[in-house]
Amino acid sequence: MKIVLLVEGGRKAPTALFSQSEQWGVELRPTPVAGTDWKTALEDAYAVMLLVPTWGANAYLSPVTLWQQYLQMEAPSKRLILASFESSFQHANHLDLLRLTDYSAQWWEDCQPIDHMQELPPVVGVDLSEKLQRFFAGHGQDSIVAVLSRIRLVVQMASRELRKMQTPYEEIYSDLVEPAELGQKWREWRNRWINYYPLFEHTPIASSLKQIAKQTDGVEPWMAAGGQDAAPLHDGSILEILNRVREQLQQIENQYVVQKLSHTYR
Amino acid sequence: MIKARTIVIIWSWQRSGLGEGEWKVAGSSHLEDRLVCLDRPASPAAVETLKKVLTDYSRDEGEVMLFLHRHHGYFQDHLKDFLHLPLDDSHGLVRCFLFGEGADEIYLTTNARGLLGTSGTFTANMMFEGQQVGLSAVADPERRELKSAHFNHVWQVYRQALRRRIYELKEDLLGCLAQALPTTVFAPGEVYQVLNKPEHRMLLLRLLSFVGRIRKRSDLAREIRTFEQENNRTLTFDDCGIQLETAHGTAAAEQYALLAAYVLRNILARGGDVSLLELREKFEELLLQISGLTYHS
Repeated sequence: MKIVLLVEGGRKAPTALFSQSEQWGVELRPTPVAGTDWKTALEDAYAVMLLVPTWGANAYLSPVTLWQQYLQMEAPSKRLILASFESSFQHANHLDLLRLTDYSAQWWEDCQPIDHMQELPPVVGVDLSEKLQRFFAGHGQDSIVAVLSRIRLVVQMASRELRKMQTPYEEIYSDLVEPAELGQKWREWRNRWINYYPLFEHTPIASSLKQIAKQTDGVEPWMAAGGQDAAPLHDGSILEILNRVREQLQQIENQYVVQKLSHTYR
Repeated sequence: MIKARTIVIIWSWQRSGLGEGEWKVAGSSHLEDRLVCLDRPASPAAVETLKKVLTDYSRDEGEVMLFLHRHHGYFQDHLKDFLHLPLDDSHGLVRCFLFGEGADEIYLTTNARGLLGTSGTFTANMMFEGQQVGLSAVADPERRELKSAHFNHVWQVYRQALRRRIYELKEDLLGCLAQALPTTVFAPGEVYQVLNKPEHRMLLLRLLSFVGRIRKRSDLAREIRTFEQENNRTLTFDDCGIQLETAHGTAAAEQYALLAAYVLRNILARGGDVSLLELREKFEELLLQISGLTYHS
């Protein structure tokens, strides 16, 4: 039996797809991607099947490029299969859900592995690869990373003053933290975050974004209060969280945005 | 020549103190763009004023989008008044939309890059995961300038609104009926039985609206509005055929008529079998006639 991880993407795959797949010698496993278990499961899988377009944030979305990039980096011998209701989608790895009986076990054999896959035609839906690019680079200085960097810089300086220079916090607060308007900057960050975060629920970066969301929840009260409390700066917890978040965002950016740009320039 | 883009919004502008008037769009590349705020409840005089506004702003190929607030008393019949304005070729395209009850993409509370906030303003506060977040479409209140990202986004979204809504109806309908696979042909009345189940109520209402079978102020109209509010989505197709003809030409209107007739005869009545392949083909033929992207990334 070939194991195929099925990402339903906010939709419900037809039940006949499961029974028909069994007849082809394929075990379709519905796979939630919000956690990280699917990454281990992928090792034994023959392919990842996406039901496209996916549905989220009140729109149909296309996560195809992000999945393609992920598999290219992590599992280039696996197949990326797209299942949809489109009749005009011409590709060896596309399965037309309304014509299930036209397929056979041989079709699965003929699906192209990601490192030998012909270019995919565009999938209808909000292009999440473009969205991600904008998430990082959008509006230059106002990009989500730039906003976070400005916050982190203030926290880092305040933290160093407090811990190494032992400057009284009242002084640090009035000279550095208060004028930096951390509460305002944090709201800016959250505004951008809420625009993007829900879109990536069915993509390979979902688990990383979920972790970031959880971590930033931890600094929310301190930021909202404009950084008045010295304790989290003293024990380094705020800076640690911001460093972790920055690291994770940079990782995503390097993997999906920088890589994509360098491919484009080639 | 850059064509002027004008958004005219009939809404409760007096309530906030912003009042009626024009707003510009920030940025040098948007000198020709503007948003016109009007607060006129539906009346024969208001309709005449709006006809004049649309005629004026669509001169020299200027494109105009008119948004009519339902609570101001506007309904589908008003769209016909404006879409059938006798304008010559020197005038640009006029599109009209009904909106209301905070459920449309034009609202900041539905779409963070929307325009309308709360109580006649361009700003809104909303809760996200327990936190209050402030949203604003205003770039410069003194100069009465709006953020271009918000203006552009709303313009794009509504330019593609029909195509997107029809595409979503197709995907949702096929997704629902594909649960019966491998059956792809349904006997007369079978599809209706599926759609008549409580869990598919919203889909059935969308289909009824698509074929123009929801009368204004009817119970069905109220019901679909409730779904719109609960889901923060526009689900209705106000005068789909007319809108398609105005914006995309006769071929689009004809394809729509073919699909609507198929739905009316075979899905909503027991006229004949329903083939999923045929249904899909009719949707795809219609979408082919509607130019532009389905989604704006």
